[in-house]
Order: sequence, then C-alpha cells, then structure tokens
Amino acid sequence: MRVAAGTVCFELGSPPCTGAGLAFSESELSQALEGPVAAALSDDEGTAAIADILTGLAETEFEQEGLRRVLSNPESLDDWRVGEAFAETYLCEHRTCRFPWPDGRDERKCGSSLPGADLVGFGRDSQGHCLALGEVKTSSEVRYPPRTMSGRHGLHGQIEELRECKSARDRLLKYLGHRAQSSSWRPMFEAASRRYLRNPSDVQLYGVLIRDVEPNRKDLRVRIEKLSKGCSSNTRIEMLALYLPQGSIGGIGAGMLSIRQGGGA
Amino acid sequence: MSLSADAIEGLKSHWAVEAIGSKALAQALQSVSELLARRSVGEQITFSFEERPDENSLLERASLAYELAAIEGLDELSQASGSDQALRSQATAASFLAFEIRRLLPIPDSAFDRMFFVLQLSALAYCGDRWSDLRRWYSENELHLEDPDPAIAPWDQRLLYRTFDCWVRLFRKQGWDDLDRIREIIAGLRRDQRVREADCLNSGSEARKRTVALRLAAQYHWAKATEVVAEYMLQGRPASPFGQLDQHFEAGIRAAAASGDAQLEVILRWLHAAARIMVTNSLWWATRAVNSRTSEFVRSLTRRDHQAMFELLPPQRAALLEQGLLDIAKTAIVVEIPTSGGKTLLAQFRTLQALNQFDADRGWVAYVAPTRALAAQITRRLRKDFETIGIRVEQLTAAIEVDAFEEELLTNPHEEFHVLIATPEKLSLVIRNKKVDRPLALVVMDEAHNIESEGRGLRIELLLATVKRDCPQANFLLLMPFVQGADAVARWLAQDIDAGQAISFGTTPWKPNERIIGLFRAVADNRQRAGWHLSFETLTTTGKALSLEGTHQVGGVKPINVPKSQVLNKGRQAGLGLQTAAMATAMSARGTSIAVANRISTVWKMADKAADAIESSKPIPEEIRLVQDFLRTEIGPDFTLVSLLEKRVGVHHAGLSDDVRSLMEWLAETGSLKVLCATTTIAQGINFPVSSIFLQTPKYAYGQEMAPREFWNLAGRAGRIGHDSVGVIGLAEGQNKEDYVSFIRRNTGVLVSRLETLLSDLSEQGQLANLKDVLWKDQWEDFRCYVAHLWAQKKNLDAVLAESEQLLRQTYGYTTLRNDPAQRPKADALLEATRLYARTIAEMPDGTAELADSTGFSPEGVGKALAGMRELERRLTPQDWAPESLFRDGGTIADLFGVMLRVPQLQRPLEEIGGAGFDRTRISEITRDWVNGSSLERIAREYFSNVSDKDGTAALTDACRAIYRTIATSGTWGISALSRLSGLDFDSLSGAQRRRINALPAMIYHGVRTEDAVLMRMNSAPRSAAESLGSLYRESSGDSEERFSIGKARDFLRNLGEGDWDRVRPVQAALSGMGYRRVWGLLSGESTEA
Repeated sequence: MRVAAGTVCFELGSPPCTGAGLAFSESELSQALEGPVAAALSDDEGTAAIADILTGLAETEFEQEGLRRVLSNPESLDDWRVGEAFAETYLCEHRTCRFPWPDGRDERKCGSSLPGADLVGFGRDSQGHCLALGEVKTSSEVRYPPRTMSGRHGLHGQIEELRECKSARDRLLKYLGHRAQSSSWRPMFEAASRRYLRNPSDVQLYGVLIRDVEPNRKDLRVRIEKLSKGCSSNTRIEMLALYLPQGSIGGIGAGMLSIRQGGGA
Repeated sequence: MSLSADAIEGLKSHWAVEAIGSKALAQALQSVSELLARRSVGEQITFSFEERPDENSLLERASLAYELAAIEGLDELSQASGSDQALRSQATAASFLAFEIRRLLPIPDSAFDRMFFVLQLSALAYCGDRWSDLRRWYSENELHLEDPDPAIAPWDQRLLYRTFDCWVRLFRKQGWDDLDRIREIIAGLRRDQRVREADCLNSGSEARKRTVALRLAAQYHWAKATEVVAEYMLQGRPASPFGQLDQHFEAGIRAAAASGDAQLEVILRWLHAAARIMVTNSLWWATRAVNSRTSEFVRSLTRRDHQAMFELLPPQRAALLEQGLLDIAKTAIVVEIPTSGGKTLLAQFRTLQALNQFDADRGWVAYVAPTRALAAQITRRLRKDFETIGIRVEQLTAAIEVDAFEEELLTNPHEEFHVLIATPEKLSLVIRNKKVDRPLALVVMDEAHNIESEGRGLRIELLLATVKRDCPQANFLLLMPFVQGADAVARWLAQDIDAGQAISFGTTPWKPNERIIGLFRAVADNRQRAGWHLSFETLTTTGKALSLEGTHQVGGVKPINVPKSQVLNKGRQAGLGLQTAAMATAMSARGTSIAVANRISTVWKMADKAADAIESSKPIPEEIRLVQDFLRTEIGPDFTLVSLLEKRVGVHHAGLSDDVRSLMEWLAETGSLKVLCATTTIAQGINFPVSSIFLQTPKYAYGQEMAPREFWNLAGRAGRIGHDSVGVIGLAEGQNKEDYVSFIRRNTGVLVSRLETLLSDLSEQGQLANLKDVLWKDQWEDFRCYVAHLWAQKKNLDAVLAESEQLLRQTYGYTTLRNDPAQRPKADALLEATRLYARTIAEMPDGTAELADSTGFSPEGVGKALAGMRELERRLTPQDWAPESLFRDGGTIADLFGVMLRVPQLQRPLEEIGGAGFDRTRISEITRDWVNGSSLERIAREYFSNVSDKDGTAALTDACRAIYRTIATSGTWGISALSRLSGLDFDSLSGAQRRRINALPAMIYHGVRTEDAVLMRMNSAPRSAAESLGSLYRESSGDSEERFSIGKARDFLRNLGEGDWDRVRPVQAALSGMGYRRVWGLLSGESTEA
C-alpha cells in the first residue's frame, strides 16, 4: 500500500521556490495510515534500546526511580507525530526523498537540542543525490495560514533558517555522517556530501503543512513569495499543504496506537 | 598509534577532501597560516597579505570535509584496538587538520552553540593528537570557557552546563585541584537531582516526558563517564577504565539517540573517542606496567603545585607506548625528538627503569649535559621531581678535576647517589678512574648531536666508547634533535645487533608550536627625520615553519632610538646587532624575545638600546627585584645589568657567572623579561621556551657557522607550549640574503662523527697516509687520551697492539668507516696510526699513561707538566700546597701557573685571559684575590679597567670571563693535575691534609678560601655569604670531620630559616635574608616554600 498522490488543489510559485496544496480522501488517508505511515511509526529497536538504557543506569550512581517511572508509562502517540510520519512517507514516495533511519520514535523532536530539521535525508535530481531536509507542522486551526506557519519556530521560520543557516545544515550533514559508515545508504550520503561540499546551497528543502480543513492557497501563498526572495538558485524549496479530510487530525495519534497494538482504527 | 605524515598526505585523495578541489584547499591552508600569523603577531607585524573575500566560508567548507573524513573513522578511535588501522589513521589525520582550521573560526555567540563548539573543538584536538595546541587555544580564549549560570536553568540544562564545566577542566588540566573539583561537581549534581529532577520530568505531554527522561539518562551516563576519566587522570584508577568508559558512553549515545537529541548524541560520540585517547595519553596509562618507583614519580608529577603533569605529548606517548623506550632488551636507545618535545621526561622514565633494573646491585645513572648551564637546569629539575620519591640526585661541578668533596660524594657508601649529572669531560674522568665502584646502569646523553661538533665532538664520542668498553652492562639513552638516521648511532652503542633502538619523530606532523621564520632588514622611512623601520620578509622555503609570503613592516618608525645612519649606511644594511635589538624590542610585547649576537660587546650594546626603547612599566616584578638585589650584592651596585633589568632587559653570555646566567634564564622562563640579549653560545644552553628569537648572524664569534641542526634547535625554542600559537624567528639579512635563505633551507642531515670528519678531511687533502704525523695536533688530543687509557689499563705494548682494533671498534667513527668498503682505507689508516701511537706511549716514562688518565691531560701534556715541575726552583712540600701559602702574596700559585702555561691543553685558554701585562703573575694575582673573597667589581677595576670603558661593563665582562671561563676551568684543572704530578706522597699525608690539597681546585672554582665555604658554594649558596655560612656550618657541626660531605652541607642549608640567612648576610648586602634564601632555592632546585 502506498500513500496516494493527492488531488492538486492549487499550485504556487516558480523554481527555485514552489508550492502546492493536495487533498486526500478518507480512503486515501486510511490506506496510508494502515500501510506506510504505521510502518514509519513502528519502533521495535527503540523500545529495546530503552530497556538497555535502564539496565545500565544504576551504575551512574544517579537516582533511577524518576526515569523508570516515566519510561515505563504506557506509550502515547501525539497527533502531530502521525502528521509528520504522513509527510515523511509522502515525500519518500512522491518526491524521490530518502530519510534513512526509522523515524518512528514518539519522543523525537520534543525539545531536541539540535536546531535542525524534522526530516534529514537525501533527495534526487538529474545530478544525483543531494541533501534533503524537511520541516513538518500539523494544524487543524480554521485560519489561513494557521498560526503554526509564523514566528521563529513556525514552518516558514524553520525553512528560512535551514536556507540561511549554513552551520545548521553542516551539523545535519555531519549527523548523517556518523550513521553512514556501515549503512546501505552510504553511497547516497557520499554523493550528497560531495555536492554539498562544492556548494553548500545545493540542497532540497521541504516545508510540509498537514491540515484537516478546507484547502486554501492562503496557507502558503505569502510564505512562498517571501521564501523565494533571495533564495539561491542552487537551493530548491517546496512548500506543501496536505489536506486530510476535515476533522481527521484530532485523536489520530490514539487511533494509530490502537492499530499498532492490534486494535484497529 | 601516532599520526604520520603519510596519513596526512593520504587524506588528499579522500572523497570529501577531493570535493573541495585542490586549488581551494591550498587556498584554505594558506588562509590558515595567514590567519594564525595575524592573530598571534598582528599587533607587532603589519602583514601584507592579500584580503581574501569569503575566507571564513572557504575555511568552513574545508573543515567540514576533514570532519567528515574524521567521522568515518571515529568509531575506530572509540574502540580498544581498531580493526581497521587505515581508518584509524584517517580519523587522526583528518581531526588534526580539522582542528587546524576550526580553531581559527569564530566562536558562536549563543551559550548553547558555544559550549558545543568548545567540546567539539576539544574532541577534534584529542582525536588529532593536538592536546598541547588545545591547551594554548584554551589559554587564549578563557572567556569562552565559562559555563552559563546554572542557577535558574531547568535540570537537564543545568546538567549540561555543569558537565561542560567538568570537560573544560578535563581538557585544560590546570593542576590537581582543577581536576579534583570534577568529583565534587558530579557529586553535587547527584544531590541536586533529588530536588530538581521531578519538575523537569513532570511537565508537558507524555511524549515530552519520555524525551526528557531519555535525555537525562544520556546525561547521567555522560556525567558518570566524566567522573571515570577524571578519577583515572588523577589517581590512575581503576587500572583499566576503558570498560566503564565504553559502557557509559555507549549507553549515553543510545539514550541520546532515543531521545532524538542529535547534538547530544554527536558530542557524546566525539567525547567517547577523546576520553579514550586522553586515558592512553595519560602518564598513568603509559607507565602502568612499570615499577612502583615510576608510579610514585607519576603521582608526584600529577600533584605538584607548579605545572602539574597528567598527560604525555604525542612524541612522548609514542616513545613509551609504541617504540619501546622502556624495553629492557634495548640497551641503546637514541631518541630524535624535536626541540620542546619533552625529552627530559623520557629520560626521567628511562632513568627510573634503569635504577629499578639495577636495584639489587645499587646501580647509578649518569646524566650528561653539554654545558654547566644545562647541567644546572637538569639538576634542578631532577632534584625537584626525584627527591620526593627518594631518588638522590647529585651534580658534579663543571671543573674538570674531581675534588675532595666530589670524591667523597662518589664513594660515600652511606649516602649513595642514584643520578649523577656531569659534563662529558667530568664523567670521562669518573669513568676512566673508576671513581664509583657500583655499576653504571645508564648513560643519558643530552644534546648528543654534539658528537659532530668541532670542539667537543671527539671527546663525547670517545666518552661513549669508553663507557661501552669499561662498563659493558651500561645502557645508553641519547637525546638529540633533528638527526636523520639515528638508528645507526643506536646500533653502534648497542652491545648486540637487536638491542639498539632509534625512536624518531623527525618526520611526524606534530609540532610543539607553529613558527614564522624570515629575514629582517632596515628600511628608510621618511615619516620621521633620519627615520627607518624594520621590514620582515617571511620565508616559505622550509617545511619547518608556516608558509607565508610577503614582506611586512615590524613595529613603528625607529623601533629603537638610533639614527638611520647606524642601520643603513648609504643604502647598505649596517648595525645588524642594533637591528636585532630593534626586532626583539618590537616583538617583546608578546613575551620574552631573545636577541642573539656573536660578540659580548654587541650584546651589551643591544641590551642598552633595547632598554632605552622600552617604556618603564611599574611595578617591577618581584622576580626582577630579587635578581637586581643579587647582582648589587654579588657584583656591585653599579653593575649595568641592574639598570637594564629595571626595563626588564637581561643579558646572557660567557662574561657572566653561572649563577647570573641561571637567574637570567629563570627570569626569561617566568616571563619577567621583555628582551634577553645573548651570545650565539646560548644555542647550546637554552632549555626554556621564549616568544621570539632574532639573530644578528648564524655565525659563532670566531666566524664558524652554526650547523643547521643547531640553528633549528635554537629556533625550536621560539613559541611556548601552552602560550603562544606562533613563535617568531628572524635573521638579520645584512648583505647575505641568498646565503641565509639557503642556510635556512639546508637539510639537517645525518649525524657524522667528528672522528670520521677529521679522517675525511685528511683524505681529501691527500694526507691520510700521514695520519701519524698529524696525530700530534690539538684536534687529536682526545683521541690520544683515549689510546693512553687503554695503555694505562693494559700496561703492556703487545696487549695494547692486540686490542687496538677492538678499542677503535668501540667508536662510532671507526665503525662507520669500517663498515663501508669505500671508506675502509680511512679506518685502516686510523688503526695503523693508533698502533704507532701505542708504541710511542711505550717509550714514554713509566706511569705517563696512568697520569694522563688521572689528570685528563694528554700523555704529551703530562710530559710537559712533569718537566715544568722539575724545573721549579725547589721541590714543593705539603706546606706549599696549603691554601694559606698557595694564595698568599707571592705564594706558589704563580709558579704553578707558569707550569700550566706549558701544557697545551691549558695554555690556550689561559692565554685567552689576555689584557695588558698578561703573564703568570697576573693570573695568579687574580686567582689569589678571587679565592680571598675580592668582589668581581674590585677584580675588574684592579686588573681589567680601561679608560674607554666608562661604566666598567667591559672590565667586569673581562673579569668574569677570566674567572669563570678560564681560571675556574683550566686553572682548577691545572692545580689539581699538578698536585698529582708534584711528587707529593699522598699516602704519607694525614686525611685532613689530603682533603685540603684536594679541595684547592674547588676553592678556585668557587672563589672561597675555606673548605666549609666550598661546601656551601657546591650547594649553590651565593658567594657573598659562603664564608660566613661556612663558619656557621662549622660551628653547628661542632667542628666534626663528618661535616665534609656535600649531602650534609645541603641538609644544613635546607634547615636554615630566614633568620639564619639574615645573620650570615654581609651587613651592606642589598639582598635580604629572605632574598638569599630564595636565590639559593632557585639555584639549587631546593624548595624554599615555608
């Protein structure tokens, strides 16, 4: 099962900075959630790692009770995590992206000290692989654009930061480097790194807004205009608004959790 | 595994590095050199480099490429023994270069980014084997090392801030307390956890709580790993910390990954590798398998107040861990290590190992230093380091004879020394005459490249050959800089073929510090009347310095106050000494600069001009005040050096006493001097780092050019580990630009024995067949003594002839020549000449060879001295040899100097005293006054004054040279030898009489007239208080004969309080009792802490 391509509601901008609104039906959403999105959210390895981490903790001579209590709480899954997984799988299937390691840990991104990106991996174009970075926001707010688009930590600010801040991109590339050594995607990493080392603007940036309201070009229009100003011609920015059926985001995390635990949506 | 030049070269073909492009990369590396130069000396030198737009962006790209290459191999550095050595080398080399660039990039402003920048840079430094460069970066960027205020930060951030602080401490290692505080910080965090963790864990969504919990888990593991590293660096415990380190770092990395905290994960990966490397760099790790004596030594190094040591420089680590410095199967080790590479520590470890190996036989170690200054420096250092662990260190004076007290020191079974520090000449006498009846365990030869020097090379080579022959169980450790093919020397000294080991770092990319090298010249500058400025052309022709192009202005117009005509004569370069002083003055703002000239008179002139140009800065450091008081007391209140020191300008040359020179070195070492003006001979004596070095010429006083090795040895002192990133070295261009450029380019090459050079010179002149006819010349004197020693042992011509070849085979020169078929004729000629010379000795009066051995004279010198003694008007009696008759007006000393002037080995130096009316009477009068306590100022006035020398500086210089360079060496040697040749029946004398005669040379050497005062001087008490100290010593020991021991005298001095020193100081002395005590502590290496 794949994530559907969605129905194009609007298209905006021109290279290097483009945008589009895509709508998904109920069935397309269910198909995605049960298939690739669920796979992206599953994390057996992460669960095993937590057991390991707790085992060795006693030897640090710090108290362990507090951590044990929190980590043994039943798992929960925030709605925005599902949005993020949806965006990731969409980009992988329809934009030649590859985000290399399982990104299904629920805890990821909360207060991470790395001022980086939600999605870190590779894109592909006529010259081969390059660095691809993505940011995802999920919002049900009936407002165009939603507030989550604005401010320093809003989607627009994040993409602008990735476009402008070379040191942040450098850090993300090095982070990939630490994991590339024995991976299957090492050739992609080397190819992307070569391009990046020659020209640090040679990257693909994706801003994905997950919505469950009526599609509206206002969600992206002004942001795309702003992002295209002063954008290097070597950088490709794509802003996507993915419109899920109305009202489908609230409780989507809990629903996914019961699918994972064998319940059903 | 140490970083290799090949690994650095290999990086050029790494995919990430290739992506940058060779042209851009070359530009980046050029920018690095230029930035480094600008940052370090930009305030003094106006560099003419082109501006490079986008410099930082290029540097960031290049650094990223190297970091990616390093990351590829990082896991190998985080493992016990990496399975992939190539990858490990790649990671080390790439980290080395990434650090090279990243240290110059701007430090981020935000506290968070700044902390990660510092940690990342530090880890790169460790992974790239550059901790000493990192320490320097730390000292230059102290403000950026503070942890943010943790008071109001949430718990996870507080943990981060405090752990950051711990790692800053681990990386900078400012002494025991700095590291010990880590234990307290981590313990404090454990306490804080109880009250602060809950708030942090209980807010936000469940997902957020889990994230925070995992991040805290990572941080707790990190904190624990931090504690493990600190504990190991301090205590060497647990014996193998790697298991714990791996466990906590790996768990921390897993937890950080699970929490999605990529930055934490990345930094833990780097710190894991850095922690492992820090442990393997540590003194504890390198010596873990050695004996308990070594552990005690390491413990004392880590705990000392000043310059505590915890880790080894890369060459030291490689020598100990990779190249078998402590392998007892290696009997001869030659360490070729760059200047400032930390060779003394290596010698200390090898010394302890040898003492341990020979413990049951009470073995001893000889430490040979080429000059008195270096011998004194080494003594101070070894005493400071070794006496706390019960190793007794003694020094023999530089006088050639062994005096009464030294005899006692060498043979006293109750106070056996472990380490004996001596000059080659003195050790030679000790070995030949078997003065110590315990086995010699090890000979450490410092600056062993002197084996090729014209003056003493042959003597040093033959000393080693004698040790090889007479002490077959002895081990060797030779320390030398910049010598290719050191393995040949090791093979020579080793008793069997596999027992020689050369430890060489000549090609390692590691450098103690960066250097800028260039030629300077005066240039007319019309901004002022008769104006001029200095121009410095940086040279790119050598791999030993930063590659910088261009000609740059140094300082402002007229950096010293002399008119243009004195430095530029009709457009030609002139006044090179003045130019040198001007360079040193202009560069002095960044630390001590040394200005080197080849004549003492030039040195004084340079010092005068430098002092004139330097602004007074108050207050004058307390160290300077102390030395000024010492000079006022010991030399005279008007001595020029006192006023020079007011401007923090010092001088260092042969016209000063050892004590004064040692104090000048101490002032330079403590950074109290702005400029030190010195003669070229400082190349042999400088064992302390300075900021910059400028030379008037690379030639010695007699026109002989420094060997490139000597030049680089001196240049290596520019730049201080832990201080300046860049040392500056300049040579006055004069009219010799081309010559000097090629001089600097010249390769240091292999070490060539002086014996070999002498024979090759003869061969080139077609004189090889006439070797026997030139063997009488001065340059062969040491060789003749060497053959005489065999004769003295065998006392039989046939035996000597039979063993001649064996004798020669002990030498490096003969061995080298004999093993090379093309050179074989030279070896054969030497053998033939040796045999002929043995026949000559056979024809000399009986006992000549033995007397040569005991006096150090050549057999011919013995003959001449004996003839001279016979010709004296009357035979000398024991009474004539008593100090009161020898040194009275019209005493026998004048007759003895008359005899000495006939002995070739003594004649030349004695004649050097020169001056008006020079004869034996004058030398004997100077000697008499000196022994009887005349001040140097008075001797200068009396014997050396000159109308043109208004302030008396030249007279004082001449007086010091006459006393310290000639009378104290040749005079004492002569007196000692003549007493043995005088026909006195020593056996019939009482013990006290014998001792008094044997103490005569020491009285001359130290300038005192009683045995008690000699003992005080031997233990570094200032001369002005030596007699009264001696009296106090005699009284306090109840006039007991047992007091005639260097060790007992030292104990007496150790126990003197400030009040005692006050009582013995002359009434008029500028130096206070406390000052005396402090100076004594400095000169003797004894602690004077309360």
